Amino acid sequence: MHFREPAQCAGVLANENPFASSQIEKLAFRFPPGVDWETLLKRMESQGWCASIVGGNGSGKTTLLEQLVPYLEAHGFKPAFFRLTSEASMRDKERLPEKLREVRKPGFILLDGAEQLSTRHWLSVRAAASQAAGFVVTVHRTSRLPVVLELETNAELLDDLVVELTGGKLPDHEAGTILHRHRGNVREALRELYDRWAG
Amino acid sequence: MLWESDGAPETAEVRLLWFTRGKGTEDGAVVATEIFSNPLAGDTRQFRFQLPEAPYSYNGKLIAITWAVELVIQPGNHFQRVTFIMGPDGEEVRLPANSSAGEASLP
Repeated sequence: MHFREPAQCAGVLANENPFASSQIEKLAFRFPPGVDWETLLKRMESQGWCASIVGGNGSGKTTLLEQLVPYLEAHGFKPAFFRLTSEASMRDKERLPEKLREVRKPGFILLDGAEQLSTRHWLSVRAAASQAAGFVVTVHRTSRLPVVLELETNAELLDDLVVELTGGKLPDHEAGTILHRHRGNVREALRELYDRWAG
Repeated sequence: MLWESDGAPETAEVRLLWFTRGKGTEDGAVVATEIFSNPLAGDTRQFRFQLPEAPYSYNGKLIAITWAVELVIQPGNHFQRVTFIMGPDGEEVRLPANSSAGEASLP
């Protein structure tokens, strides 16, 4: 089965576009070969539930963190999700330690976007998180906390996602071309595919 | 509206809402809520909502606006949603085929 190009679809409306954000949010996280949820949780436990997940923009870090929640709940934790984006204000960063201090065991802190924190802010955040049962962050580069998973994107991943979303396969090498254009950012690659389907 | 559950729910309510679908992050709002008192495990209830003037149901290339009524039962956050169209003559708003993002206007 092959990918239906927009010319074949005559432009698809939002409710029918397979690359709508609501459809992308339903995609299950894809682990690298040899890793699954159980492996990840064991790695986190071996680090005292204090760890980092590393990956570039659009590599799936946020998706992974969101989908980690029920697995942590099954382990008796109460996940508390915090997110810092590139638009986070200085005030958001200054207030973050105060919010994190409220998370006590079995509360488990998941902090998405820790790379947004300066060293000064990070030290405050790290101290504030000490009362929680666990502290897992996402970052762009290795640093600060032990790495339990490093995410990389590739053409095979994009191909796989397209098959799940559309039932069809991209033409040969197309996934690599699109991903290269977006510097490995799968999120942006999927947004380009949205536009192609919308016509 | 009717439902069947394993035991009597703690709460049951029906919501009138709209939400967006499309390229960007979803948005939406619950416009009205009706709470059913003393819900039974198997129950049938009537409800009535006054629809607001906007937004109309819309299905474009970048975004769609969908209206729905949704039954929510607790505990367990069980819900069932039924969509419907709100618009002139019961149809979705559609922009003319040659309109661009900066020139869109309703027919």
